[in-house]
Amino acid sequence: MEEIDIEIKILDYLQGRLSGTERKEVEHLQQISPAFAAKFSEVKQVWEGLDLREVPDISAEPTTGFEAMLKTFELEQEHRKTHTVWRQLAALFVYRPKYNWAYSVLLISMGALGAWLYLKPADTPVPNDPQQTSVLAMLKNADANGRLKAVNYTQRLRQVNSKVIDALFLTLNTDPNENVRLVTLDALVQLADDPKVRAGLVNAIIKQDSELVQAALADAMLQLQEKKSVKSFKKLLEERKSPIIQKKLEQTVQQLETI
Amino acid sequence: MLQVKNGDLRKMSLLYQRYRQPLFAYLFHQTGKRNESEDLVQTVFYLMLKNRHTFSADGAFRAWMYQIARNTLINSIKKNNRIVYQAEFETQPLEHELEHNYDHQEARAQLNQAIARLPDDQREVLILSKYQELSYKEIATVLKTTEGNVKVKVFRAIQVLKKLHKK
Repeated sequence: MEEIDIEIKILDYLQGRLSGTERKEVEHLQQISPAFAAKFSEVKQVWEGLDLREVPDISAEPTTGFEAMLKTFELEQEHRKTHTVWRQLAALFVYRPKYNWAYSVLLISMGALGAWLYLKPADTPVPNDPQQTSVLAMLKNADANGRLKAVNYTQRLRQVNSKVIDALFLTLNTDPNENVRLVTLDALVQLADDPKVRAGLVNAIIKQDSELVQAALADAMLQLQEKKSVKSFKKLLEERKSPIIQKKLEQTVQQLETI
Repeated sequence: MLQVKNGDLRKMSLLYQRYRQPLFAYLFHQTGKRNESEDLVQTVFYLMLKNRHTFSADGAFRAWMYQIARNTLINSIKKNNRIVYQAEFETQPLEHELEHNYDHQEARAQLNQAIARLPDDQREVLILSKYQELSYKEIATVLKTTEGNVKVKVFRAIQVLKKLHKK
């Protein structure tokens, strides 16, 4: 047996890694071989001497940090799921050549609808745009998926009229489904060039009871650099919140104030 | 960890309760800095969450965790552009040493210096083997080497310490 094998065996013995038979073998060697006994004693002294090096206990502070980190991570994952739903919905509207006939039917129907609207008697009020009218109807859908589709569809419209914007804000502020509200928020942020939309987003801040939507609004306001939202966030901070959202809103206010 | 990987993120709290001290000890042995080690513990748990998909069902959790901890430590050293770590090992008296146990403090300081003088690779295997109680197989996984190589490094570290011990 080479020196390295002997010493590793001694270390294994000291660490309790040997089987019963192997342990007995080491103990027997100590009795019959003074050289082995000396080596054993030397290695043991060094190995056990290492116990002098001690490590303090970890403090409670990282535990608090860990809990906050875990909560943030969970929130982010939840938010990501919402975006995935949106992406899946968006995929429904991606042009697919194999559905050519369906697109053709859709275009013809829309053309026919346009012609009917143009030619119909003048005493009937004319909607601004059939697509926008459809969106308005879809936003009243009882099914959350239907409302998600409607919100997503607004992003395909070249122009969005004030009725649709009002309907989107109604959805953002009152829809019972959190995912629908988040998707609506994203849709409205796309329209934020319109001062009316920016003002509506600021007003929406204090109407949100969901911390996830509040957090998303904070991100949106930072993205839009909307300093006017500071007051609303401060008002929101007066209410009791979970530490993580409290911190997020405080940071948002701080960042917006420095703009 | 498998449950965390499958989406039950809350289960990470249990892993944190169980492994925060061993992980802190590993990082403290390497950095010698309490605050820095505590920060790194949190970073390691964040990275475990973020990279949970890389944990394989048949893999050993401890080896995977120490691999992440080791990479985090290496990145931290690079980021802070630090070369000498061990020489800074905190040698303030521990609580039970405050009763004027000077000899104990002195011996501990000497040991810290001895460990600091070890080559990095030897010190690393010594810490993983002695203090973290990882098997040679686990250490080999963490360091991406062979068990034989780990044994050689442990042996060499012991030889160096024996010489220092005799002085």
